[in-house]
Amino acid sequence: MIPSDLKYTPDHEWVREEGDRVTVGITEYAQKELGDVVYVDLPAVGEKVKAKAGMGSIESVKAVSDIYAPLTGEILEVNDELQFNPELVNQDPYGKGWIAVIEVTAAEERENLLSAEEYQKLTGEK
Amino acid sequence: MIGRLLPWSTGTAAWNMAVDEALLTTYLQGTSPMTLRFYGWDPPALSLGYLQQSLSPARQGRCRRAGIDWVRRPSGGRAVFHEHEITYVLVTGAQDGFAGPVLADYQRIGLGLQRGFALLGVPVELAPGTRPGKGAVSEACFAAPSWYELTYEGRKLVGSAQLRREKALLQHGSILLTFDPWFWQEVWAEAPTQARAEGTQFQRQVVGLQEALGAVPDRSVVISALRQGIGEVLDVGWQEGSLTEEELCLAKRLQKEKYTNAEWNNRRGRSVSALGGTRPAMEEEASG
Repeated sequence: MIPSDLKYTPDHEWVREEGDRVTVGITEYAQKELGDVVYVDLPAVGEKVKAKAGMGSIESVKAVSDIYAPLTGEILEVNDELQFNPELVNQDPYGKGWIAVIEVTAAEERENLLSAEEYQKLTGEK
Repeated sequence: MIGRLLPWSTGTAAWNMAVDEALLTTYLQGTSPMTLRFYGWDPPALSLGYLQQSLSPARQGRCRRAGIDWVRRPSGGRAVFHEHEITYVLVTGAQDGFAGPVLADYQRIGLGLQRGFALLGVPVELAPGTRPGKGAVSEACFAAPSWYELTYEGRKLVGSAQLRREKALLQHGSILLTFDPWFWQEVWAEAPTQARAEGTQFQRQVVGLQEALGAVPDRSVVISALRQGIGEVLDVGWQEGSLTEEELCLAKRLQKEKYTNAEWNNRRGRSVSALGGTRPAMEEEASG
């Protein structure tokens, strides 16, 4: 089920908005596509990220895939738990599998995010 | 569907990775088609997975003294030693029917390779694979077959790894012609006991095509069979071509700026350790 209180990107990231701070992760659709996640290369706290540019990588069984920043800003926190339990991305992608918190510096980019309904149409997921 | 087949070539570790990544980049840009190529490594080289821990100074020294090159791949997976082998790379993507999931695409390519080996008279299986546990795991790719990798009589013949970027993928892999554990025993192993253990393990778990065929493989015959097999399963007709000017320029830039750059090759990666699970390399070093 696609959470209705989140926003999404066409690259299959989700965004939880909390004022200027957003928590991001990859969606249920993305984690199914990747398969078992074995390692998450997290961005660094303090790193400046640009919307649609890479901010880390996920390795699933033998495939490395980029994680794309949904919005421009600065990394405030990362989910260090993923270093020891990367499977959280598969098990709880919208909860314990969160990846990073970004302080957004280009608020106008939020207009480009997809609603849950729009993301559902994109993926065909329920 | 028509794809491009590049001619056989040999290159340094950095050049080989630069060309592979250039093919992916130009495919994503829409200026290059689905491409298959086969190549060799000169000098012999070690390649590490993108997120794998960097080589220790001791291992780097042993590689240098043995005349072995080394590079960090753009793809996932573990360490591979490239000597007596044929390496394949396939660059393709969603527009050519490879839209994921990862394992489904792996399986399709594996089925193509399997068909190719069948044409050679070598019956290979696709390994089922399991999720890696959190105990000790070898840092070497060929220590165990992963999902849909190719085995002959239960022993690993081909090791492959992928890089996925937007709606495209690069998958490359090593097809062993012969297997000699000398590298793992004399260069990779950090201690004599490890050398003996690695050597014994590899002899049981790895096989080269020469052993499977019972004869020294003719490289051109092998490549012809594999291209035909991949083409049949993927429904692709291969048209012979060559690297474009754009791809050559990009590959040269990637070779210079990335694959011969110590910052890329020595980047911090994950350590697959006996402490349990994978840990960031820095933490592993700090813990002793």
